Amino acid sequence: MVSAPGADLQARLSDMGLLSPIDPEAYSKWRPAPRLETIHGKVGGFLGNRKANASLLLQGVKELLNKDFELRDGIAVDKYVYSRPAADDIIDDLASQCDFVVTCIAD
Amino acid sequence: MEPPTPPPVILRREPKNLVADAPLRFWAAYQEPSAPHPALTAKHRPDYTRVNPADELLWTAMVSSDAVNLGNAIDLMFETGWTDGLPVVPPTEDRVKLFVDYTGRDPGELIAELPPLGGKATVERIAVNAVMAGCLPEYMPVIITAIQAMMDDRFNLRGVMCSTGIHTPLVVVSGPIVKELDINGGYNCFGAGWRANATIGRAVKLALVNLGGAIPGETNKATFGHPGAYTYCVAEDQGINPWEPLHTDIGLEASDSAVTVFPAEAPHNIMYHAKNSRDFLTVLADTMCTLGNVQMYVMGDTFVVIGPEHAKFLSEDGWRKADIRQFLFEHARKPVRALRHGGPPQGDADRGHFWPRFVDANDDDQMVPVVRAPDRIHIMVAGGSGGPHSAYLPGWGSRRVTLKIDQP
Repeated sequence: MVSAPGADLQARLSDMGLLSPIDPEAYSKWRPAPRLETIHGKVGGFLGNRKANASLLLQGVKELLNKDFELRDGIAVDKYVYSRPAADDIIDDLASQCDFVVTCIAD
Repeated sequence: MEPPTPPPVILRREPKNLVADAPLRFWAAYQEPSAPHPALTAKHRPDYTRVNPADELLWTAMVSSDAVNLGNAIDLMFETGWTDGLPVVPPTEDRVKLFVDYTGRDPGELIAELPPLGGKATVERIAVNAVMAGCLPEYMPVIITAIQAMMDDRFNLRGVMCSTGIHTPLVVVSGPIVKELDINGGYNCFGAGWRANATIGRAVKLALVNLGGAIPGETNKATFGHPGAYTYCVAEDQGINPWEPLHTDIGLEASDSAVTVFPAEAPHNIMYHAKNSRDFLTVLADTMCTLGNVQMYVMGDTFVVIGPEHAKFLSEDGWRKADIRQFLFEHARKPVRALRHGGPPQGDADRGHFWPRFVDANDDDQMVPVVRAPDRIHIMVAGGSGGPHSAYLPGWGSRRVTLKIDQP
């Protein structure tokens, strides 16, 4: 695991006259989405990567969540290309319709 | 007669001699002054007698201050996870400055925001990674150009660095800069032994992890990974190339220097001892279209490295690179019937999604090429003379990108 330099590490680097090879912001700007208090009765999005095994996994998760939390709705959608990020229109649609989104990696 | 055991290399207090003397003293153990060992005069042997100012800084620090600090610095790089698992050269401020100064660029100039995490690769941060890799300042333009090339959307760097596949970015250098920097395109060109190949490739890989955040096992989900994830850099040897250089494919001048990047699997050897051009190309084509080759299902670009012996008889038979591409496009094919046994699990309905439009995926007898068009087959010449070998480098589904190197 790569470390972003905290104050202590930065001090040790400075003491040794060394420079850091990373961009610390790249490691601090990615954070988990805010947690919901409950997903009971919420609208869930299920974002697949357009691979058959991902669809199977997400379908199973969707059924489990429906059973345990009585989702108001479940919206399943695939990325256009499995090796590229989800397109903005897909993200925008999910953001406007869903309270939370589940995604997965499956090949 | 067996050569005697070489003398141990002892660190002395004359820093400038350390780099220069070590290999020389090794060979001097059993050579006459008037008859240097062939390894010292061979065409592709690196010039170890040259002492670079950047190296002198390192050795001076190592000898004149104390080796303890050096060891501590190397350990700190391990502790932070900023290495590839091997020791690195500590990126001291003065050494990094030498690298930045060589480029003539502002240290804060943004070259790329590298995926998947989007780290800002400035000239200075690239220099830090280049120092750590063991580079010389003169390698910086090649490294910067390679990073710029990988950011081309056709390369799909995010996908390349996060996929479960076994590929890794390959850096190919072509043009006059190959000789200037002593980048190996001859014997053992994919192997060890050349500082430029080893450290340019390593600098690129360190930057992709440290700045891009393609962390093995976390954001990088490669099932096996690739030995070339440490370093994967090769030159095209124009001295043995009977055709135009690789970079002229995209309209650059032969006199230009260029970097080509391509997400490649490891080189797969093609052994062929005779001198029949059609037979050789048939063997090569057969190697390219195996049922396990991911390209049979996702297409993309593919790479062929023709060894000097094969290049010689192909050229003498009148084969141009365009002819070779066309032959391979027509012969590196498998029937739809066979391809039903392999590939992704989408089912037959989606199996032909990436295939050329002329292939009917519902017709078992249709022949599927390894790429969508002849110009997706890229040909370069490299390797040592005398061996009856060429190599095939399967791709991953994205494209090769070539950029001209802007030298300061």
